[in-house]
Amino acid sequence: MNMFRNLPFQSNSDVISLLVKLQTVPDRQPEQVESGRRLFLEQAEVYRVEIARLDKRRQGYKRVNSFTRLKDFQYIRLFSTIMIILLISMVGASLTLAASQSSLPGQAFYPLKLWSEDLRLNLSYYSPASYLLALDFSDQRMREIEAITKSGGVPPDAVLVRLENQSDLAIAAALRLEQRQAIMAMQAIHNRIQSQNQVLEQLEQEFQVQPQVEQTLSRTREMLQLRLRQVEMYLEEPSLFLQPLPQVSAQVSPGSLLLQQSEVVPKGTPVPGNLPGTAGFPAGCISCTPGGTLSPSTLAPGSIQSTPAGSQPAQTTAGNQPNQPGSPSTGENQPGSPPEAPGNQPDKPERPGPGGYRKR
Amino acid sequence: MTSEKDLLRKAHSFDPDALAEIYDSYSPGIYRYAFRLLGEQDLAEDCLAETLSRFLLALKNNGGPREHLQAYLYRIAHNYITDQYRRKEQWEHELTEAHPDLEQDVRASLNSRIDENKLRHALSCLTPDQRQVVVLKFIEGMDNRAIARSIGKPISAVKSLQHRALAALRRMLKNELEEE
Repeated sequence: MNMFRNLPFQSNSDVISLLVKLQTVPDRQPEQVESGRRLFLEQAEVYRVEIARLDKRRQGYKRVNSFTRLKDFQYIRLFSTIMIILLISMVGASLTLAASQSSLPGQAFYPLKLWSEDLRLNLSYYSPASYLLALDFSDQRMREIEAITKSGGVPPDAVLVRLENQSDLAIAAALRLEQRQAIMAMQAIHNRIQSQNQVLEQLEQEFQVQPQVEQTLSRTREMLQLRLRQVEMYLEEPSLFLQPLPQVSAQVSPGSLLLQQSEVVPKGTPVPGNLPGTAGFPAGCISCTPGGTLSPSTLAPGSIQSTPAGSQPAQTTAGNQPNQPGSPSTGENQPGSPPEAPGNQPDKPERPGPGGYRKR
Repeated sequence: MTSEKDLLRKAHSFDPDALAEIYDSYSPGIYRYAFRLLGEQDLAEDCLAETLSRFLLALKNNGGPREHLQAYLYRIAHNYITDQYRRKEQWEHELTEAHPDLEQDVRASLNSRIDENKLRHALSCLTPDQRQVVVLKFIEGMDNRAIARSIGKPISAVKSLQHRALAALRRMLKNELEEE
């Protein structure tokens, strides 16, 4: 019997009555149910094992990754600590160095100040402006001398020696330049030394200093006048100094360089000693007597315009050769000068002056 | 009995007990649904196995449902059946009426089987959504809310699909009758 033929299909209920007939479903066979269930659980077990393996691998990766991160963090922390320590050290050193710049001889930071100056001079050896640096440091020495004198103390010889060395270094640095630049540098050095000389004059005039201090100041002025004279010689005849210079370290007094250079000047060439106002010194020797004897007292005081009345002759040679024939005695020619030249002082310390004339 | 959410939470960690409970609870309904649409036990078993296998695969890929497991399983089964409909054109009348020598009861049974297959053929001509709504509503006996969850559409859309599906079935079956 065909059920389709019994239905008119005039309404949806006819269709629904047909659909209900599809509800009849034969029971599943128990072995099929059991088999399907077993397969389902076996597949689930396979997936579970795979997931567990993957999770283990992920956890291991996470552990390794976090360990690496921890190591990185430790390195970063170590690096940061080192950097902070370095930074603090640098800032501390800079502050200490800055504080030491105003220190005076005898104070705790003064050696640090001298060390920093030496370092800067050595580092700027090849710089064209190294003579300016040396001049600045010589000015610093002058300020120290001024401060110590005003406070009633005696400037230590080490300061004077250093002032002398730094003046010589400035001259040596200027001589390393080309001639046109060297002339300008020498003019700057000349002006600076003149200023320093004036400061010393004012100190002597304004303060009634102790005799010991007065001697020290006089020695300093003599040294400055000697350098002044060397610079003037160069400015009068720069061609005398065309010979290339040997390298001079900061420890060598370059004051001798002028003498060494002038020694190679051929005969007949005008030499500083023959220049007007130099009173016929031997060639190249600005400290010698006209007869060839070394004596800074023969520097023709009258020719040094900046030499004030009462200035003393160059101390180093004045003490050694006080009475050279033909050399006018400063003490005799200039009334008002100290009764005894500083070089005659028995306790005068040995100081490395311009090496040239000392050797002679 | 564990709630559906707890069951699904355990199923995500592949707890064997939870998975066994899911199989025992939902496999009969999926099997019946598949059989009603496919008309054969083997095909229904295949549909059930494939549905549960896809469910496990989704759990493995950290997917799968967090709730409404029944609707999720019916949706998988429905997709499988739709694929089967598209793959084979087997809804031809496999059984003909050219068996005059058969006994009366056998003939009646055969006629009934033929009618069921005609009905299934008509169902297969519906759109997938219409077919699913009709089957879930009138064969599985689900209410509109559950059907809406299963097909992922609002109840109003379910009603509309149901109305159009019944009209289409009625038209197709009437044509079938007229052709006879």
